[in-house]
Amino acid sequence: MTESLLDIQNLRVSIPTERGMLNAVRGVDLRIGRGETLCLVGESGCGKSLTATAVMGLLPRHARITCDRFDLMGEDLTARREAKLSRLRGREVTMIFQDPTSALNPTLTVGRQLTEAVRRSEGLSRAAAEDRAVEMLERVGISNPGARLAQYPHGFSGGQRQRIMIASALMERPRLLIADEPTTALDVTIQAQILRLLKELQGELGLSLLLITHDLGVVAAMASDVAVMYAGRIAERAAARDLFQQPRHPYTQGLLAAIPVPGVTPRGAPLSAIPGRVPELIGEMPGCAFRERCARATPACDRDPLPRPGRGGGFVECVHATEAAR
Amino acid sequence: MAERTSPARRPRALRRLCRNSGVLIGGGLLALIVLIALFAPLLAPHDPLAQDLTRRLLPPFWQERSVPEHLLGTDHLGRDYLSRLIYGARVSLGVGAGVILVSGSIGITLGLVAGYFGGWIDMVISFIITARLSLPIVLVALAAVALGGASLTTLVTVLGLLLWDRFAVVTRAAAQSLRHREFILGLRALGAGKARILFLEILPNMQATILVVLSLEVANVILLEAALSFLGLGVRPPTPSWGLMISEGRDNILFDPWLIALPGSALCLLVLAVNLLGDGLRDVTGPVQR
Amino acid sequence: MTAVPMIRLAGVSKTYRLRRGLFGPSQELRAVHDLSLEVARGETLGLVGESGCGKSTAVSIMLGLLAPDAGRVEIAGQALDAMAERDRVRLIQPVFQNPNAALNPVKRIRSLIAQPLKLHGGSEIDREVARAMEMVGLPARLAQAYPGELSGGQRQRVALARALVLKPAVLICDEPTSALDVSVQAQIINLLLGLRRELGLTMVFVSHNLAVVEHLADRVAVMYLGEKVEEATTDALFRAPRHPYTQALLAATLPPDPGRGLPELRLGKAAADPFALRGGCLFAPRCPVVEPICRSQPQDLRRVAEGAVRCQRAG
Repeated sequence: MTESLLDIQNLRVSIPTERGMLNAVRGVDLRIGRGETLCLVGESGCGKSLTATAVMGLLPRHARITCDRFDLMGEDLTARREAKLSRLRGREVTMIFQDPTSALNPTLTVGRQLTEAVRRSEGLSRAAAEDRAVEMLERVGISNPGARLAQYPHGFSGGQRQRIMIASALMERPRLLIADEPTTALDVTIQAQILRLLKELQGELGLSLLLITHDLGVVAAMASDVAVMYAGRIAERAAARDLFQQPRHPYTQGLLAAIPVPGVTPRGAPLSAIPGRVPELIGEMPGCAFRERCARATPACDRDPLPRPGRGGGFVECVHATEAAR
Repeated sequence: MAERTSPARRPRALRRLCRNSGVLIGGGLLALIVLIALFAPLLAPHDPLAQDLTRRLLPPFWQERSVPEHLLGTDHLGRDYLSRLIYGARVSLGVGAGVILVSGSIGITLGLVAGYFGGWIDMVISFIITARLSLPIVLVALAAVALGGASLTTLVTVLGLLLWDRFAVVTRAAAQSLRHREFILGLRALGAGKARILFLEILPNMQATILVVLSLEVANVILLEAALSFLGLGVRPPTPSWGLMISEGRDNILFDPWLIALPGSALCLLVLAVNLLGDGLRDVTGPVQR
Repeated sequence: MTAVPMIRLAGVSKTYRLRRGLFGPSQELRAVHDLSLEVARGETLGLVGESGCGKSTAVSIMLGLLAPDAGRVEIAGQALDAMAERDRVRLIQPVFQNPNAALNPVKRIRSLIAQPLKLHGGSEIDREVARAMEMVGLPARLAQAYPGELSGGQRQRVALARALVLKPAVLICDEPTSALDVSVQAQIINLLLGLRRELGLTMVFVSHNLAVVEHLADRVAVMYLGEKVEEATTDALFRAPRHPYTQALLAATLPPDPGRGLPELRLGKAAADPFALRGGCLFAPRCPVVEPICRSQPQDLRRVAEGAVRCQRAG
C-alpha cells in the first residue's frame, strides 16, 4: 500500500435539527494514498458530500464535527488551531463542486477569480499569478487562455466552466483534489471529456483525487479504490476491480444489480430493486443500518457490525458479507 | 418497511404555531383589540360623541382631580376618552382591513398575471407598477380628498388604490419562479384553466410571502390613516379615530400630554401586534420540505 | 396493412425568438427542426439527446402545450390542434423528471391524484383514487400526506398515479428517473414495465440515460440540436450505431465495469451551440470524421435498413 496522503479516523458529523440530532456521518475512516483515486459512492443522504465538506472544513457553523485522527501528509492536524488548518486545507486540498455555474461569480472576470487566491496566499504579483492562470487554463484545455482571462463566466459553456473550476482548484498546486459530483450537471459526452481531463491531470501532477459520485459507471471508469457509503458509514471499501467483480456487502450487491447494463441485462426484464428507503439518521441507531432493507438480515444484525477485513486494506461491515476470494 | 409517515401537516403546523411566541403575543394582542372594537358599544362606558363642556380635560385615573366615571379622563369637549379610544379601534382596524382588501386584491392579481404570463403583459404591468411607485401617496390622497371630500369611504378607496405596489412586486417575483415548475406544466397538460392555475395552484404557494407583506402593509395603513386624519384629510370629526385624537390633543400637548400619549400608545400596540403576528406566521407557515 | 400510429409527428418545427430587453436585438433559437416521429400502439419510443437537443420542446408539442410553427401532430389518427381538450387529456398524459417540482407542495396526495378526475368530471372519485394508488404501490395511509413528507420514489409514484387516473392510452415520460437514486430508480422502472404490460400503454420515454432507454424502449430516436440524427430499433442502435453522434453518446455511457476504462471520444472541445448554426451539418464542429463537405452542406435524413440516419458518411 502506498504512503497515505490523508488519513482520517472515526469522523463524525452531527447537525442539530428541529427534530433532533441528525447524525449524518457516523464514524468514517478515510485513507487516501498519494496519486490514488478514492471514489466515495452512495445514494442521496448517505453522508458522502458532508464527509468531503468536513475534510475541507467547509461545514456550516452549527454542525458538530469530531474525529480521532486527522493526518494530512503525515502531519497530525487533529489538535491544530482552526486558522492554520484552513490555510493548509486551502493550499494542499482544494475542491470542485457539482454546479460550475453557481460556483463561479458571474460579476468577476475569470482571470480575477483564478488569481485572487494565489495572490493572497503566495503573495504572487499580478503578472505572475496571471501567467500561472494561463498555464492552468491551457492545461485544462481552454483554447486561447490569455484572451479569455478577461471574459466573464457567462461567455463559457457548462463544460468549459467546469474546466475553469478545475483550473482554479489547481492554481495553488494542491496534493489532494476533492471533486463532489463534478460531472452530474453535464451532458454525458462532456462528462467523459472532463473525467478524462481529471485523470490526465492526476497523472501529470501526481494528484490524489477524492471523487464523490452516485454514478457507478463513473466509479468504474475512475477509481483505484472505492468506499461505498450507506447511512453515514462506509459499508464496504475495496479496490475498484474487487468491488465490481465481487461485491461483498448486500447493499453493494443490491446497487450493482439495480442498474440496467445494455447488452447484459435482458431488455424489459424487471430490475432487482432494493425495497424500502434510506433510513433517517436522527438520533442513535444501533445495529446495521441496512438490515431493514436487507434480504439476509437476521437477529445478529441488531448488533453493530464489526468491519471484516478484505484484500488490500479493504473491509466490509456486515455479519453476512460474502467471503472474499483468496 | 423502513418507511414512516409523519402526522398530517395541519396539526403539526398548529403545534408549531402555538410554540412561536411572536404568534402568541402578537395574535393575542390583536385578538384583544379586535374584540374590543367589535364589542365597543358594550364596553364603552359613555357615548363617544356626547359632549359635556362642564367636564372638559379631566385627567386619567392616575392623576389628581380625576373622576371615577371617566377612567381615562375627557378631551377638550368633555367627551369620555376611554370610550373614544375604544371606538377609535374600530376605525383603525376597519380602515386597515378595508384598504388591504382592496390593495391586496389589486396587487396580487396584477402580480400573478404579470409573473405568470410574462412577455408584453409583464411589461405593461411593470410599467403600471413603476408609474404607481412614482406617485407620492400623501399628495395624491390630499388631492383626492380635496375632490371627493374627506370621509372614511374616500380614505379607504384612495389608500386601497394606492398601496397595492408591494403586493404586486412580491407576487410577480414569486409567480415568475413558480410558472416553470413542472406541476404547472402538468396542470396545463390536464387542461386546467388559467384562472384555476393562478389562484388555486400558484397563489397557495405564496401564502408565507403574502402574509409578510400583509402584516407590513396593515401596519403601514393604520399609521397612514392616523397621519392623514391628523392632517385633517382622513376621518372627519367627530368620529373617533386615534389619529384624529392625537391631532385634537395637539393644542394641549404641554399641559395634558396624555391626550396624545394614550391614542399614541394604542396605535403603537396595534402596529406591534400586527408585526409580531406577521413575522411569527412567516416563520411557521410555508410548505414543509424534508 | 399498416395500423394508424398512436403518435405521429410530421415535419414539426419550433423556433423561439429570444430578445434581450425591450429594444434589444432578437435571436432565433431553433428548438426543433423538421421532426418526424411515429409511435405505434403499445410501442415505447426512446427519445435521447443531451441538453438543448429539443427533446423537452418535442414533449411540450406532443402534449399540446406548445403549438409548432410548422408540421402536423396526430394522436390516434386525429390532428392534435383539432382535438377537444377533454379528449386529448384522456388520451395522453405526462410524467415529469423532478418529482419535487411536479407536485404542488400545498396539496394533499389524495387531492393531487383526484385533480384530473375533478377537472374532467370523473365519477366515483374516491374509488378511482384508491385504485390508482394501489396500482402504483402507494400505501393508502399516504392519501392525507403532503408531497414534502414523501420520499423521492414515493413522489414519483404519486406523479404516475395522477397521470394514470384518467386511464390514458399514451404516457409521455420526461426523464422520470433522472432525479432518483439508483435503488429507487430500479423500483420505478419496474413499475413502469409492469404498468405498460397491464395497461397496454404507448410510451415516449425521454432520457439522457442510455442504459435506462435501452432497457425500456422498443425503438430509439436520437436528437441533436433540434434535429433527429438517427432512429432505429433499440437492438440495431445499440449493436451498430450509425451516426457519429450516436456512436459518441454510446461510447460516453459508462458501464459499471472497471475493465472498460475511460472512452476516448475525439469530439473536440467545441460545445453544442444552438445559436451558431451555420449552413452545414449541425454536428460537424464536433464530429471526429468530419469532411469539408459536411461543413457546407446540410445533411438529409435518409432511410437505412432498420431506421433512418442524418449523415452521408454513416454506413
